[in-house]
Amino acid sequence: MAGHSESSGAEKKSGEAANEIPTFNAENLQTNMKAIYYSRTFLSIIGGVIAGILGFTSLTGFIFYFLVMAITSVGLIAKSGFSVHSYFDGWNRVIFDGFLSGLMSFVLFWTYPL
Amino acid sequence: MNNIALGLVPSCSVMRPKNRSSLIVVLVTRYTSGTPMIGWRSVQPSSEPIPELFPAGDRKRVSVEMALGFAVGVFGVLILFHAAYSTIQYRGLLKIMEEEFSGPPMNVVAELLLGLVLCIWAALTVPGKFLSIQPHSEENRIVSLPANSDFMIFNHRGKVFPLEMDVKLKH
Repeated sequence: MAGHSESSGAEKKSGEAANEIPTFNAENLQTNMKAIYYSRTFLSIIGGVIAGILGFTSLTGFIFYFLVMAITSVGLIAKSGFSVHSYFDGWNRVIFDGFLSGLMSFVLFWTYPL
Repeated sequence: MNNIALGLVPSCSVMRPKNRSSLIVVLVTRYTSGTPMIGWRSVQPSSEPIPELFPAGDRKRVSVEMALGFAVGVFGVLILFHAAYSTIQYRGLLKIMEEEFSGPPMNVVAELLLGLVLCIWAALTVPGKFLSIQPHSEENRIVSLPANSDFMIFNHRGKVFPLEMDVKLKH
């Protein structure tokens, strides 16, 4: 048990080559997804503050939010060195995951103080 | 009788685990049922010292880059607060002069842009580097072999992995 408590989190999915089942280290994938989530949440809040300061009204504000999320996606792809497949199991995870999770934070910081 | 045709002779393969010392090799014997029986034996006497299995650098540390990113983020947020305060003052001024608020002055916009750039940089740096998910990459080597070999469990889901005959041993 002592040795396996360290290796149990490492190889979670089954093997490659003959079976063609995708293999990846699920624990590291989760760490990477958490990092993406933190980045997106923080930038949603910052985007909300900026939209509030600039005085954006309804549609412009939401367009600004999507713009900030698109910039975040590009930044994350650049951070992973453009080799997405060595850190995530698909492009969808980097680009679309957590896209709308920051929307509520954005609206809160956009409309609340200003 | 041809034992191999009956499948009675088990096929036996030797695997070297990916640990740093070559103390132990693992023998995998496959019978017809498919479930491998695994035993292990020492290859050489334990004359060499036991390698350090859990090096002290395992714990998650705040690296210099993360601290720098955090400082940049705080600085960016301070710039944003300063821009917000300027805008509030500007709005107050406009209220006095009874004009419409169309947009903050240009220096506030420039400040906002700078704060946004700094915060984007901080948001990408602070959560830490991405960890590789390839199981065969260098930093994902499973280097653990427990200090007490009495409690090792082999009947786990790793049996669906195909046999790798050419695992490299890192000395």
